[in-house]
Amino acid sequence: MNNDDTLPRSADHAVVDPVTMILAAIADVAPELESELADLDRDVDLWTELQLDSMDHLAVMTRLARQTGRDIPEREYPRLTSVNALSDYLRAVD
Amino acid sequence: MNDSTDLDVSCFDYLLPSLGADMDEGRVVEWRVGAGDTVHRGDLMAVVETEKSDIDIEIWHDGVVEEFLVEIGELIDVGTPIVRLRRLDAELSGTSDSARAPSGPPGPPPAPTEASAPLPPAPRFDRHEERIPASPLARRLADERSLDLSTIEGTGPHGAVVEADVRRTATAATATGSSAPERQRTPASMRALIAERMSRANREIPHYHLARDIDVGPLDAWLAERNASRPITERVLPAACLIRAVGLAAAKHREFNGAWVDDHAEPADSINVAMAISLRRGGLVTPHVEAADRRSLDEVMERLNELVAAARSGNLRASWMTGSTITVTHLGDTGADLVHGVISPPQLALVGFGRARRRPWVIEDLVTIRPIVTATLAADHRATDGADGSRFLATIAHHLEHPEDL
Repeated sequence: MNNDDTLPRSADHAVVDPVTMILAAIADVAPELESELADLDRDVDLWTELQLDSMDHLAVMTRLARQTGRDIPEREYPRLTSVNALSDYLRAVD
Repeated sequence: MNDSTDLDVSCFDYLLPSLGADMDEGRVVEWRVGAGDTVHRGDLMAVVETEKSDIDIEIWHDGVVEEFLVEIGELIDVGTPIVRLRRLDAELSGTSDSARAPSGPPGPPPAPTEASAPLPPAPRFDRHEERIPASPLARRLADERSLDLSTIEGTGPHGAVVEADVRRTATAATATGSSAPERQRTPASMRALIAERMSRANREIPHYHLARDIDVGPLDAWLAERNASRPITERVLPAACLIRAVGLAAAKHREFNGAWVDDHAEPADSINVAMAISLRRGGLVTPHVEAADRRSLDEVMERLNELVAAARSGNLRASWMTGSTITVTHLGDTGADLVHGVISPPQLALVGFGRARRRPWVIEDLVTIRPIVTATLAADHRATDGADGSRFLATIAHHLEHPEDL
């Protein structure tokens, strides 16, 4: 599993595929869900699909922020519901 | 020999605590300290496996770890000494070395790890009993409530534990004896525990239920503005506001904070707001934020983060699980509209929050659309009445409607 401190940060984080990073963050927060992640539809609302609550959401977002070196503002949350939407966002801010 | 003298005041033994009324025995499965370590009140000592769960146990006195008295995995009774510690001010005592455990080398604390052969527990247990003076009534009450006498501060002659001390501790530790799920073993045992507790609640507690709609528009707006200017690690979620609001309201309405003991309500001094946290494998745990009325909102959020992470990774501390004085359940934004809760005995009340939903809402003479959360109160009718409950809910609503004062 990815360790926050060893992942490439800001400048060179592009070498890590955002989807991989997102799935790793979810697996880190909710290890029980790891087996479901491979089959997860990347366009559905992942929080609902995986029954992740607001605390899980914050934990995943905190990990992504740490790994990318950037905070995702709360106002972006409503549209960042699927793996693909999150991934696109992370790519775009790169 | 040494064990019969009781001269060794420089050392004390840490006993296997009872982590629930139904716990008679357990095993140390992991040490969290090493020989020679200096430990302080609240430090984790070991992981203990009970029938229901693995629990981190903490120490309540400062000291230096001298030796381990039991083997990893050995099944031992509650009350068995498991670690011997030297008091931090031990150098003042002249008798220390002569009365040291026979297994330790004389002089400085032994370095090696799991130490020498375990000693017979019985004499040490007796000795320990002698070191904790307590009245027979206090001893019996503590025993009935599964409280460890060594964890109770005595106010009697020479620091003896007396009846009032036990009752005070029992009130502070209302959840002791009934909440030991912590790191649960299996969904089945977790279910059994919930079944037993909730059956008891329905059998013993005459509940009454009240509800009140709260406009959380101001709270949402205030949080959004506050969080926008903060890094993600300092952002606050609505759940923390709910805990804080209930903590503040409980400080004003003390009759909802505490325990029902024997035939009367015993309000607690501290306000330890437990939060129901569901576990993905099934079941839930209810660790608390202690002194929720005296912590800042940021501190409540910080502790909540810690509790949820610990709950879900199975690393809850026993002290987070015992001593809850009131419980909050928050259904979250995907949950139902409201909850008619069941009180966690022996507590006196449970406050529930449903999901926020956009509803028509009347402000003065205008109908508008606002995000509404229905707050509910399940309270013990032996302790309070509906009028009290209405006031309590009104105070909670007031705090949530004035988030800037949280």
